[in-house]
Amino acid sequence: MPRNARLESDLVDERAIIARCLAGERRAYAVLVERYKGLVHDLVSRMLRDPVEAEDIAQDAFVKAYLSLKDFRGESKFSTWVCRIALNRCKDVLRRQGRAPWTRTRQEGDGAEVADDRETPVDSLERSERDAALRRALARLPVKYREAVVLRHIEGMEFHEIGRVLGIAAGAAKVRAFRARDMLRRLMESEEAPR
Amino acid sequence: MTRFEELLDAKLAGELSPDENREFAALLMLDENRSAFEAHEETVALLEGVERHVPSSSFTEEVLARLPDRRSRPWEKACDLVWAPRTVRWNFATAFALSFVLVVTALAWKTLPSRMAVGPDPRPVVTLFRFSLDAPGAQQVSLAGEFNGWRTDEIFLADVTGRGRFSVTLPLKPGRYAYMFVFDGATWMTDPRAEAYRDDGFGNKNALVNIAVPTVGHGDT
Repeated sequence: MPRNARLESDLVDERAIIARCLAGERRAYAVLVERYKGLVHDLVSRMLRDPVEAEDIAQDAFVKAYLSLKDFRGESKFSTWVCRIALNRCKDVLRRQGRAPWTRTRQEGDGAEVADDRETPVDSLERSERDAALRRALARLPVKYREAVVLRHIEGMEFHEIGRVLGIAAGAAKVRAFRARDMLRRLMESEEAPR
Repeated sequence: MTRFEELLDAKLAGELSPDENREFAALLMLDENRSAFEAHEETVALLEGVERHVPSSSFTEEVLARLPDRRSRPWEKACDLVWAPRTVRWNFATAFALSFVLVVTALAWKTLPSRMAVGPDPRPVVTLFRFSLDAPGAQQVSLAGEFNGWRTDEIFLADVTGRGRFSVTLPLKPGRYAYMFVFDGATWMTDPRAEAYRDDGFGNKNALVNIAVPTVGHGDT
C-alpha cells in the first residue's frame, strides 16, 4: 500500500477509535495506547532518563490526551498530539526539578542490554559502550536540540510532524536536527579524547 | 542552512533526485564536506541503531485504570436506567395488572373534559446559529467542530456578497461546542470573534460557542 494511502487509512481508523472513546468506550482507547506506547515511552525515556519516572510520565501523557480528546481535531496524527503532550510534561518535570536531565541509571553499562546471539562478547561490550556514550552525549544536549534529534533519528518522524510536535516550522526542525548531530559528534569525540 | 547542508540532510533521508545527487557528489570533492558528511552519516547510524526503551507489560492496563469513567456521571446513569434494554418476565399476575391499568386509563381518558386548555407549543429543540468570518481572498472556508466530528469537508460557508464575508447557519441543540474555520481545506483558524476559547493541546485555541436552551430569536457570530 502506498505510504500516503496508509497514512490516510490510519487517520480514518483513528478518527473512528476516538469517536468510540468519546462515546464512553474506554477499551477502545487501549488500541491507541498499544499502538503508540513504545513511541511515547521511548521518547520520554530519552528526555528524562529515569525509567520509573519515564513510565509514569508516559502514562500521564496518555491520560491527559484521553481527557482532552474532545479538543483533538484530527488534523494531525494522534501520535503527534500525544508526543507533544508528553514532551510538554517532560519539560515541566525538568523545570520543576531544576536539574540536568542526565542522571546515571541502571541502564548504563550494567549489562541490562540484551546481546545479539551472533555477537561476540567483545562486540557486545563495544556496542554497550557506544550506546552508553551516545546516551550520555544525548543527555548533555540542550533540550530543544535533543527533542529534535530524538524525534527524527530514533523515533523516525518526518520533519513536518516534528514541526507540529515542537510547535515550530518544518525547516526549523531540520536545522535543529542538523545542529544536534553536529553537537552530538563533538560531545562524543570530546569524551573519547584522552584526558 | 547552506546548500550543502540541505543536500546532506536529504541525502541522509534518501530523498535526493538524480540531479541533486550529482550536485552533492560534486560538493563532496571538498575534503571538508566529505568529512562532515561521513560524521553525520555515522551519527545517524548510531542513533538509528540505539536500543529502544520498552514500556512495562502492564503499561496499557495501568493507563486504562487511570482513566475516569466517562459514563459514571449521574445523568448518564439515569439515561441508562431509562433507555437500556431489559428483559421483562411475564406471568398471569403481571398480565392481569397490566390489563387493569389499561382499562382504568381508558375510562379516565373518556371522562376528561372534551375541551382541555391548550398549552403552549413545545419549545423547539434547536437554535439556528450563524457562524461568520471575514476572509477576503479565501477560495473556500469550511466549518469543523464537535458537532460534526471535526470533519472539514462537510459544512462550507458561503460568500454571498462576494466581498469575503463568509457565513453559514446551523441548527444546533443546546450545549457547548468547540469549532474552527478551515481555509481552502488546509489552514485552520480560530474564530477571532468567538464567545470563549479552549486550549487545543497544540498551543492553539479552539473557539467555543454556547447554545442556550432556545427562547426567541437567533444566535450569531
